[in-house]
Amino acid sequence: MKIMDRRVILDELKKVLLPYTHNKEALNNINEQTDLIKDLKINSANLVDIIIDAENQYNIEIDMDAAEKINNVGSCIDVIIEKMASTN
Amino acid sequence: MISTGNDIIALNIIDVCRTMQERFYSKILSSTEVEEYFRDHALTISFERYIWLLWSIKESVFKFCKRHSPNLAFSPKKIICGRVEAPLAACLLLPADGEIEDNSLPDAGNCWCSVAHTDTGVYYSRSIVLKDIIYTVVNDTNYFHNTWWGVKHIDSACNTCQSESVRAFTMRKLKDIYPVDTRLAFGKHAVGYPILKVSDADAALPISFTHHDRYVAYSFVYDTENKRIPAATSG
Repeated sequence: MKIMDRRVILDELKKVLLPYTHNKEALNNINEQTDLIKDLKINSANLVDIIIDAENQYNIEIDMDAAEKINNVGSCIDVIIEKMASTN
Repeated sequence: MISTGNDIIALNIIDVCRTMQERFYSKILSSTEVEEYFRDHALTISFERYIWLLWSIKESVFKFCKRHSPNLAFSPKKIICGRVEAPLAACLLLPADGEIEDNSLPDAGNCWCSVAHTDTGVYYSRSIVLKDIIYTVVNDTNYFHNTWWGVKHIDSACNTCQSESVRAFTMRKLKDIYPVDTRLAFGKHAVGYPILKVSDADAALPISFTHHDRYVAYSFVYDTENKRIPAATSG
């Protein structure tokens, strides 16, 4: 699998995050510093949903050790790229 | 240490099919916790409710610890729930100073206790499992006398409504406790947990908010008998 550009992943992440995001306006303007809980108002109960949806999107497996690093969009992209690289 | 943590799950918006997938629950529960369900609890509580019960315990423990470890990340499998049980007298073990608005107090059958472990501590939980919600509050001792908590149903699930409602609900209770002329307001620590300000100064009162869909809840620790925040006690 080709390693994707961070910008492409960020755009795709918007679709993954959409069902769980209360602040839709903030979602349109996300950047790598956007905090999933503080800025997008995602409920922590949906974090596992997001991890599984990201796994499906990129055909990867995200263990919880990696998942605990995820707090903002940038760290989410880091984990996706890391897992895509290790899947190749 | 003095802290508090609570969590509420609105069961009506839980995706039951996804919850029941091993791929989902294996990110939350350890194999030991899964085994404990099928050994001890399969006749008492559905598996999806057990999963969310343990999630609420783990999230509450995380909130409890976050106040003293600001860089802590939530990793549910690093919080191990043991001695999960719903004893007949569990209702008697519930924190005494609780309220559930627009609902009846739970009977013994839907009150649960547990002892949860992390690498650094042991935490005790009290949970109520009702038709529509699971609610948990934790402490680091098995003594909840000074733990105040409340659960309320609200009309809207919008984030602003949740935030405003939980603050108004909590403030109403705090005004019962503090002298009537005390100036109270909520602030927020940079890490994210709420702060009670008394006359613009941080009261150092441990307080925790939670909301999910149309439910909001709070917990805080206050010794009303002695009118002070209780001192830390060892487990």
